[in-house]
Amino acid sequence: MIVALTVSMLYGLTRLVERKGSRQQFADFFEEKEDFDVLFLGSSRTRDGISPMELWNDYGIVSYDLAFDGAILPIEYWLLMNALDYTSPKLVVVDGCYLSMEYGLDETLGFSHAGFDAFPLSITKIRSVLDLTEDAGNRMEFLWDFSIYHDRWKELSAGDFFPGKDVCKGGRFRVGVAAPLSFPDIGLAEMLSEDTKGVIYLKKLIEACQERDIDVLMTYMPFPAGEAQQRDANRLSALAEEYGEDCINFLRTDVVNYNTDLLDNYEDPTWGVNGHVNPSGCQKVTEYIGNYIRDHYDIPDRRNDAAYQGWYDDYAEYTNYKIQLMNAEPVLMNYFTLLYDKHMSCCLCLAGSGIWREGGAYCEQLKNLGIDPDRLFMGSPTLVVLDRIGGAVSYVPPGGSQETAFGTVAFNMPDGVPNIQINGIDCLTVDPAAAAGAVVIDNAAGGVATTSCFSEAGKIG
Amino acid sequence: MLFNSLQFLVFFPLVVCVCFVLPAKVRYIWLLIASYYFYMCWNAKYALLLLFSTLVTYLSGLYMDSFKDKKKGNPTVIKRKKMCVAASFTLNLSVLFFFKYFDFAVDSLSKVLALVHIQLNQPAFDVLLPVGISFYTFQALSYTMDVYRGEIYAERNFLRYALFVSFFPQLVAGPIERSKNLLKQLAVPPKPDIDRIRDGALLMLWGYFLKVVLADRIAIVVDTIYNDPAAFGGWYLIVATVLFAFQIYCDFAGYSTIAIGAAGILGIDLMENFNAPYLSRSVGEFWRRWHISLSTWFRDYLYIPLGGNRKGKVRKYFNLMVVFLVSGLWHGASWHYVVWGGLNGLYQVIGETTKPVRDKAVSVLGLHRESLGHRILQMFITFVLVDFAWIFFRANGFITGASIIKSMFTVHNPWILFDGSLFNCGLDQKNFHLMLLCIAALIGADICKYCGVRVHEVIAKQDIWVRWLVFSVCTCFILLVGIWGPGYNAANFIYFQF
Repeated sequence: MIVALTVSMLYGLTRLVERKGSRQQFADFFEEKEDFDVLFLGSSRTRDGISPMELWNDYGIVSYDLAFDGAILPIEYWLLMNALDYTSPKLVVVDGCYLSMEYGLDETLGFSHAGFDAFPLSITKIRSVLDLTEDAGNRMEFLWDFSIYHDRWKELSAGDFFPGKDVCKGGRFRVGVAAPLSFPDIGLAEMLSEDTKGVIYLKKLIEACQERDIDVLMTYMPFPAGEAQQRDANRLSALAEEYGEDCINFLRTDVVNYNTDLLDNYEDPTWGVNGHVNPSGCQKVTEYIGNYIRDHYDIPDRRNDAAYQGWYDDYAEYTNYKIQLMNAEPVLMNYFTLLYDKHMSCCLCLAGSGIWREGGAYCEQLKNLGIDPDRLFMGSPTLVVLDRIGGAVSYVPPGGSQETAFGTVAFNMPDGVPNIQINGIDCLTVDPAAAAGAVVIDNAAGGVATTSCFSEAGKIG
Repeated sequence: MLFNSLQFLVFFPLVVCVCFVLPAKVRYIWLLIASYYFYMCWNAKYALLLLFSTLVTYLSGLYMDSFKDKKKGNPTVIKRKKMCVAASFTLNLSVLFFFKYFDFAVDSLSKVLALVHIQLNQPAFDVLLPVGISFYTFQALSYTMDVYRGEIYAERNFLRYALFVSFFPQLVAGPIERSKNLLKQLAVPPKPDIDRIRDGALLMLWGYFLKVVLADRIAIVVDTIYNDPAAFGGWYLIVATVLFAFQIYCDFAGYSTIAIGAAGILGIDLMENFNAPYLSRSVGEFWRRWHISLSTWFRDYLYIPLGGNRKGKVRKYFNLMVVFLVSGLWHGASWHYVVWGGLNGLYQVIGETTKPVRDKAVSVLGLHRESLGHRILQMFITFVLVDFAWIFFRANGFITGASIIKSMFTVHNPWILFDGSLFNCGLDQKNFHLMLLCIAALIGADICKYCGVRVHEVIAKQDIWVRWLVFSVCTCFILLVGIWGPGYNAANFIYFQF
């Protein structure tokens, strides 16, 4: 009895003091009663680059993004083995990031907790840890994470008591825009020749999937890759061919625009410079992969499957998450990356200034949204209507109006202050000091989701 | 195998379970196997030294016992028994000397010779000091002396005797048990007793609290400051020295308490080793409350044989100084330990010689020795004296110790007590405050003990649900705020090195 009481208390404490990231990311994975058809494995590049909720909404694909920051292939292999105790996917999409790395668990302790902490103790988890490290201390901290987290007693916050959960089915949006970088192109001939730890575990992963009749799709996420990373990507393609599986090497596609769709600027080339896509890049990569899966694999569309109707509620939460990101975003440049969303329409009031023109800081971002900067009016503001329901882009001068799929948009300037109305209802009076004001419409809900005004210095309303 | 290691937390319950399943008459064999395994986890080869010490003292006991039917006072018998004791002591102390003091002796000799310009080629013996050698050697030797004095009969069962020397809870850091107490308990193993198990478990918890929560937390501050006394001068060193007094107390008392608790669970009563030492009103009293098993060992086997206080005051003072200098050397093969021991001896000699003057002063001033204020003053002065001596114990050498004292008196930075600077000494603010809170709890528990109230006995008298709750909450508290886990190196108990 006393042992049970102590163990119960310890369990509660363990849950309280542990870092919540892993459990938040995987909460929906464990809560889902039905199987996931597709699992994504990879590092932060995959986590930033894939949005399972978009795949659900656009293709009816039921997927989960198991990628986590700093994940390396040995850990990903065991993460999949652990995940297979809970679900039976038809397709595993694995990213070949860090293929050449000889790192194991001991070298990535800080990162790897994200891939382990959420999984309850099991035979597979014990096997994982025994295989990945021989260090007794490291084994203990992964099998009983209280041993490493107990010291967090002094940093407990409200979030530890009420942790909540992520709503992106493992994915996420990280907002930012990286400065463009040049990068070499070594072609397809050169490739990683050694059977590194990464290669060995990728092979194990493919073989384990093939034994279970699970298809494997290999990816190499887009970013300005250095020579070593291009060699990794080329080896990845060769491995896919060797095993008769598919591979999407995004380094060889123009799916993302490296001038607008990347974030970060890591100095350390080990982990890749500008190695992650922002929300705009994520939408493009997700759409590409969604189309690829639809066209090449027999993955069912679950949107009409009664067992998965809860996903519609999840999608609504996900939409709210995107809107919250827009509300919270303080930087205009970053805000534009959030507007790249086919499920959101937008009325964008742009001041009559040269900053939008060719050579200006925002020109590439406007083009990315489908806006032609040359069609903006000089000397007076322009209302650009991005009607993603009707699939049209309109340029409305002050005093003008535009019929759209979500209603009649009127653009007036009473007393010289820009005002946007939809169906006769005032939606936004743009701050006179603003460079841009936006009214975002949720296409599915049909109403205004959020409004914002920005000067070049930042958000002003 | 450290008490605060995962290995021990698996090992000990296993030993207990098997022990209670086995028939009582063979239980000691299991405990002997467990004890040797416990020791060999650290270094298997050095178990031979333990065995050697066991064999020598066992055979010496048998040899002396062979004269028990002979007429008492027979000079030949006495002579042979004395030779036997001498042989046992020589063999055991030779091993101890070789492993612990040889390098120190040679180094000291070469330094002395260097003063008269004689170069000594020092042979380099870079041997690992066997863990607990001072403890088990003294325990084994006490057996030889007890048999010699006729206080006990020699133990004829070698395995049982081997268990007496190697009993794992107290093998490497005491308490140094007496054959009179321990051997008879090993001969008649008690039945499993739920009350003993409960009491033992509570004691172990208290020991873990002292070690894992307090000693290892305090050590972070003390090590940070003492490892760089040039950067942390003045009041930093004063704070660290005060904290070290608590660190070493919690570390050593923590080990002893875990040992006593573990032995208690196995049905063995070990002697108390600490009894609220920092509430002592004199240095002499401190040594009756600190490391009691060693103090009484020196009293019984060194101080009294030297003549104790039976041969006049001067001889008594001489004997006291010898005992404390040897005690210092026992703690470590370095002159700063000798200085530490000497200081403690000196305090007592000065205390004895100035007693008439102090008595007169008390009388003239009309002070009441038993008043609370006077007692607190005495405790404070005793603490300051003892803590001052700890400086030489903690410092890496006599010169370092002296420079630390100099810094304490010459660097004036009392503001560090108030401006948050202390939170940059390895522990952040929350940890520092927790440390102070736990020290307050320790002092509170010691005051209770001093007043005759044993906290664990009070808990044991409570309703079962209260006991369970206390046990569970304390366990969780220790695990939560203790200094342990992969982020830390399992800190050795300080007294292992002795």
